[in-house]
Amino acid sequence: MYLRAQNVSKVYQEGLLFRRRRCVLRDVTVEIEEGHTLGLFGPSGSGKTTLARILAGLDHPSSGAVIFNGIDLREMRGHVFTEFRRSVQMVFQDPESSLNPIKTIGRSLREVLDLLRIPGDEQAGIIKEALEVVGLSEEVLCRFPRQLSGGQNQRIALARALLLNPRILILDEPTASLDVSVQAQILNLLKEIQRRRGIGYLYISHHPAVMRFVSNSVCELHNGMVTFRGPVEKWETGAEAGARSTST
Amino acid sequence: MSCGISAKRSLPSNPGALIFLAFLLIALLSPYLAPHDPWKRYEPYLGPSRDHPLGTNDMGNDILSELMFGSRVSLGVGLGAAIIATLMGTIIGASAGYFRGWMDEVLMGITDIFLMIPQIPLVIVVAAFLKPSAIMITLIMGLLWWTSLARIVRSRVLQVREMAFVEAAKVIGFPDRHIILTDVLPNTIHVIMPKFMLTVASAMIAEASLSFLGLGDPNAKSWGMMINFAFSRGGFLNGCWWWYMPPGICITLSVLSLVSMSMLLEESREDEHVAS
Amino acid sequence: MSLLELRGLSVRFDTPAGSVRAASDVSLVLEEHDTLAIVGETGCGKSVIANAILRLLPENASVTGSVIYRGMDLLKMSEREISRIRGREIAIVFQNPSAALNPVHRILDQVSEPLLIHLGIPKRRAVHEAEGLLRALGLNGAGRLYPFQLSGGMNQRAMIACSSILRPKILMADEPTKGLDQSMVKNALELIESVRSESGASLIMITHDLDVALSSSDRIAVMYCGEIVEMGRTEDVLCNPDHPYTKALRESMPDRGFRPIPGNTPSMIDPPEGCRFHPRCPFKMKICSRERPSLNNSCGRYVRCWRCI
Repeated sequence: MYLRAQNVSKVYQEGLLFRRRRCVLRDVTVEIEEGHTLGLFGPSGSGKTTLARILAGLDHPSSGAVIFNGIDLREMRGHVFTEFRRSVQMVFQDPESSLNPIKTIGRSLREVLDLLRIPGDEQAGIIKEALEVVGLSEEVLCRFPRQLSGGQNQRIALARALLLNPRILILDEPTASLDVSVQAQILNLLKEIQRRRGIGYLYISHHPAVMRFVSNSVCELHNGMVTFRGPVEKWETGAEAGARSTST
Repeated sequence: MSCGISAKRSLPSNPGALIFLAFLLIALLSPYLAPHDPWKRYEPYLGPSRDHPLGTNDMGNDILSELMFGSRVSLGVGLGAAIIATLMGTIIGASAGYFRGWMDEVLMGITDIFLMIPQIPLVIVVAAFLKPSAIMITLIMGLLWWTSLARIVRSRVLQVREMAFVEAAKVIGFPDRHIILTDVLPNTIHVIMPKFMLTVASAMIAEASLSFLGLGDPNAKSWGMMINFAFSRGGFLNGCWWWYMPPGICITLSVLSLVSMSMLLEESREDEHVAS
Repeated sequence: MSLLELRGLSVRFDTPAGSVRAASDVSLVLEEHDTLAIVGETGCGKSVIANAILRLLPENASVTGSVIYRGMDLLKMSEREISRIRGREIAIVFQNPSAALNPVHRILDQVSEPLLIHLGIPKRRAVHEAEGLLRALGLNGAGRLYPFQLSGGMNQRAMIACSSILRPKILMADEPTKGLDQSMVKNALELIESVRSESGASLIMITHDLDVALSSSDRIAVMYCGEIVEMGRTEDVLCNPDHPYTKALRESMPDRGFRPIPGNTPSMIDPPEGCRFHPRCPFKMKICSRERPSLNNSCGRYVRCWRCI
């Protein structure tokens, strides 16, 4: 399975009187394959998140197409669209706000299973298993998101996406607002899940070291244009030379 | 829940809530609480006495009993109109804000048209042409007063729909109805509830004004109607303070209690913001 | 006499869920011209300490211990006296510059405001002085603009200008680099350093980023679960850590290959008995779960661990 953005551009119209066109993405082509991680690197404002939202079907490109398994997203209807919706999932940057603050964790997870029409008596087992995968105990189920730490919330968001058994997972800076030690936990968890389930990742980050750690290949964006595409070994970024490194 | 917890904690100790609860109980239990039948005639123009704690009017009706039965009409019209207005405002505002696009344009266009209608004059005209009844007045006010709520709900929904958890729900593939009902509206309720309280209060005042102008339902003894009778049948001239003062005080108290509850709900929401 | 000294500072928040021990028994010393970094992860109590020093904590906080600034205990001062210390003697640079600046006032007015209020300088001279400072910080001409018209980095500069215009003796920076792009982090740190060295102030840098601590401070205090677990010269502590938590934190850094610390940060309502790190510690001994180690000093290096006695 694969998810591809084919020559995608995104233009926003701005201003009330004088319509200005702001081009966020210009002719971007990226492809995510199962079992591989594509790193999407770029400074803030380079269009990374817009591309991720377009790939997840949350936004529409001004031109170009999103293609999932050979079918254009715009032509998908009914059953095929449901298939796409379940196979492509997204994890957001801020873990606290990606869960509804007034639903308990248990309810947030159970409603996904209700959506999948899984009978109530099987749900407890599935949820327990899902929590084990992300390394949480069942006591979190009766809590609210604000009663958990950022790392725990991000694990829940991940567990929730994994309940749908996705083939492609779009990760929009999932560790940007987390502490370094928690970031290390989440990154290792993501690698472990990929090894076991063979999910394809699109990993967005502005951190070169994180990029090198998770990705197989890298796509670098600057001002909405692709400036590098290739395997991570060949990747070198201008920002990297200036990047701080802890001298040891 | 975020709005609920602190509001739930502070509501029972709020004097406004207690007063409003008392009025509600009196309205519900008026057949058991009222000392007399409000339509039954006793000696007219009696001052307060043991048998008639608030005296009688020109027809000899017991004022205290009238007052208790009157609360049913006044509160009924207020709550009824507010419920209709809130339901309409919430549905229209939420649909416009959530779906955006042509739906937003059409619904907000309709809202703008309704905002242009001069509301009280329209109610007066309609009440004058149709046979005025309490239900009719409730319906008209309910169908006219949803506009400001629709705008408030829409702007809040526009905020909520951009939050990551709504996007997450869309990515998972929940139907729009599920997202609106369980994700968007519960996070909007704290702007709806204070506005609901204020709508109840203003509907009660409007009903009283209409009745005072003689455009109310003459068969339903509301508080406004009582003041109208006191005014037109010489209660003011003859100095029968027990006749016109109690309904006035009741209207003022219930409106104040509603406003104070509304303020409390808003404050508890601000506290939540500070805490988070 | 040292400039600022915390002696056994403890902060407790009373919440419906129980009392949160946000900081317990924190003692440290700040000399003049000193730069001290307080590092730790979310919820370890590092920001609480900064707010406790200036008494900016919410009402449900109870603070014990003492904060001695030039021989005066800040915790025993009246509200009038402490407000003379705030901003003038000890200033704080807040985390989110776009939120900490008032959106409806011009930058210049906000920067010159401390001069008007604290020193009672006439408006024209205050504005003149503020303009000079903004020029020195590279914000020439931005004074007439509103915060929303500036970028995040420029707001950060304006924020630093607001905090430093009274030439405070101590500058506290609360996560000044959080949410900034890599290139802007460097700029922000250079800016703080230049302001600090120019006015001869001491710096307390509160951060979760060990890189930031390394490039901005001489001394470092590592906090875990409300306690200082290790304190000493920054380079010594970070390159050659003694406490197991500091070691584990270094291991989870990008250049060491993201090796995570097992387990979760414990709850601050009910912290573990004995050493607070023992449930996650790879070098745990029997005594660790029973008795709480004290902060031991050996040659200027303080470590709170039973293995280092």
